[in-house]
Amino acid sequence: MSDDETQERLLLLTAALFAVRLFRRDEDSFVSLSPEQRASFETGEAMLRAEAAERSARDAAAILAAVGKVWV
Amino acid sequence: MKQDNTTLERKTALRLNLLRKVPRPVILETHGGVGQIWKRVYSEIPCGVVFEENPAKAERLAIQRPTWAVYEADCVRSLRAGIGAHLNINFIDLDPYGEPWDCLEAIFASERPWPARLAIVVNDGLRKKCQLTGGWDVESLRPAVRQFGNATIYAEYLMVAQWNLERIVAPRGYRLSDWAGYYCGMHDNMTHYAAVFDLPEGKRQ
Repeated sequence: MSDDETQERLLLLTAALFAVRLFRRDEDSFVSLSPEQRASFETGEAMLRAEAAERSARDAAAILAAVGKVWV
Repeated sequence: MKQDNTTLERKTALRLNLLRKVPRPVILETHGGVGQIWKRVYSEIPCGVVFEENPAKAERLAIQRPTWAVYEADCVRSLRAGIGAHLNINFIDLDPYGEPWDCLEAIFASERPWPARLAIVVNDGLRKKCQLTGGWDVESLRPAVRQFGNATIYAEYLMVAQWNLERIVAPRGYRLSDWAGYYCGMHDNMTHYAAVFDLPEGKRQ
């Protein structure tokens, strides 16, 4: 294997590990939430989507792009 | 810009005083952070909306205040899109790291219910930048620069802030009823101010 190939594989491996870490962090973010909080998050998500659906397509896109998670 | 928490006591006092002027406050906190202000000022208030971009902090806020709407979101884009309009917000608390003007403009450009009395409290970190460069390169201060001149912005920032806030809320019909403000923090680079606005009788919803 050439140095370039080794370098490329190392980069790919690093990127894959980073992606796995990001995914796990996202999953972990629910660990501290109670069932009520989790339900509140799901309600918030539904509320946000309903709110977006009532708006124009442009406003809906702006709403959905601006917000990550919602708890209500 | 690094956050300066030496002013926390004064922030708290300013908000507690302002809360006395608003019956049944419903809060909009644009930058929730780790919820220090909420613990000291808003923990007894059941209704509110808070924004926080940082996912870990946003989740902490959701756990901290189960009866509020908590958004993990960019507040300027969200507010401009009308988010939070499901509540009759009458108390707006802005604590950004830098300027509050983009956020204020987003709020007043959006469609939402407008209460007869509206309180606004701000921690404004823009004064230092105005000292270094004047106000001309801050988009939302350009009208103030035209009105007062670049050299006035730093020296008279509190007066400029009052003028600019009145300018931003005016299209919604609000008139200033009460104002308090002061400089604080290192080298007086922070400006804290609080305002109460009322809608004239004929413009109330």
